[in-house]
Amino acid sequence: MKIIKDGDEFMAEMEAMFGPPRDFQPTVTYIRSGDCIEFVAKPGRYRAERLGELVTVYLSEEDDEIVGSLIKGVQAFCRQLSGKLPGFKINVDDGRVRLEHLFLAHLWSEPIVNQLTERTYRKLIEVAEETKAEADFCAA
Amino acid sequence: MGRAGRTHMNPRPPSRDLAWSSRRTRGRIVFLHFRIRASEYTSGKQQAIQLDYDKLRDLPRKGLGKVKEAGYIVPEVLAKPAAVFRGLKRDTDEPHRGTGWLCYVGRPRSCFEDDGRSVSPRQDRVFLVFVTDEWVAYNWYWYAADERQATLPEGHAGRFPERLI
Repeated sequence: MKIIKDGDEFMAEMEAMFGPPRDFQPTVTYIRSGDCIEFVAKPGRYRAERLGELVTVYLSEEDDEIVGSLIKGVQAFCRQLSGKLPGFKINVDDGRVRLEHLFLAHLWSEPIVNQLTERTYRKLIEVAEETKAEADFCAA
Repeated sequence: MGRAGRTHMNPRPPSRDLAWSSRRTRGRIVFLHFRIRASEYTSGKQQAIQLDYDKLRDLPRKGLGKVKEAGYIVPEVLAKPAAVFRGLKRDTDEPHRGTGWLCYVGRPRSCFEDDGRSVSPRQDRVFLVFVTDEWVAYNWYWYAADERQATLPEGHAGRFPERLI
């Protein structure tokens, strides 16, 4: 087993495995071990802010605009949605689902806590639509 | 279950011993391990922490800065956390999921722009690394610091059932 001693070696290992860092591209990653979907739509430094149990938004450190999100407990969430909103299943195509559909379905199935949360979800849906963000995961 | 803010039983800082290793599984999966002495607050043995493959795979498409974040900041926080919380609050229909998961909190000395330049982080930020009960670090990000305790994340008392250190 090769031992990586420091960050420089880590960088080399990453490049060998995944290629060199490239210019920013929007990404949607289903992180299996954490059962979460990470969506990063725009470049730049950001911080996270919890929107609730399900969603954490990523806010630009430059201008506080929404640049991404993290959806947690995805498998359980989709099971809940399929129970509450049977029509949701038609939005899942071979394990792929548009992120704005997930956000909308969540809004339809849960009471909105306050107007700020509602506005944040609206903005998040806009950003997801703009980038045509689609998650690829194996729905339960 | 303990309360957030509880004093750790053993205040010794984690060892600075740190090494990473990588291996491939089924020809494509890469795990990068941290060997840290998580023992002071877990089972008493040195623990390797894997970095999630899915997370690592997409980092290069987010720019050099995000790769450096994984390579320099994540190990710094895992090796020398200011706090570790256990038991992420998760979905109500899966009460057991996340109960043993950990959140490492740190205040790294630097952060990275997309082009890889190192800059000073804001003073009102902490860095969080989330680790499953199978010792996989699956996500990490900057977060607002608590106004009264700048080494802890904002809202920690309502977010984590138990503080380990």
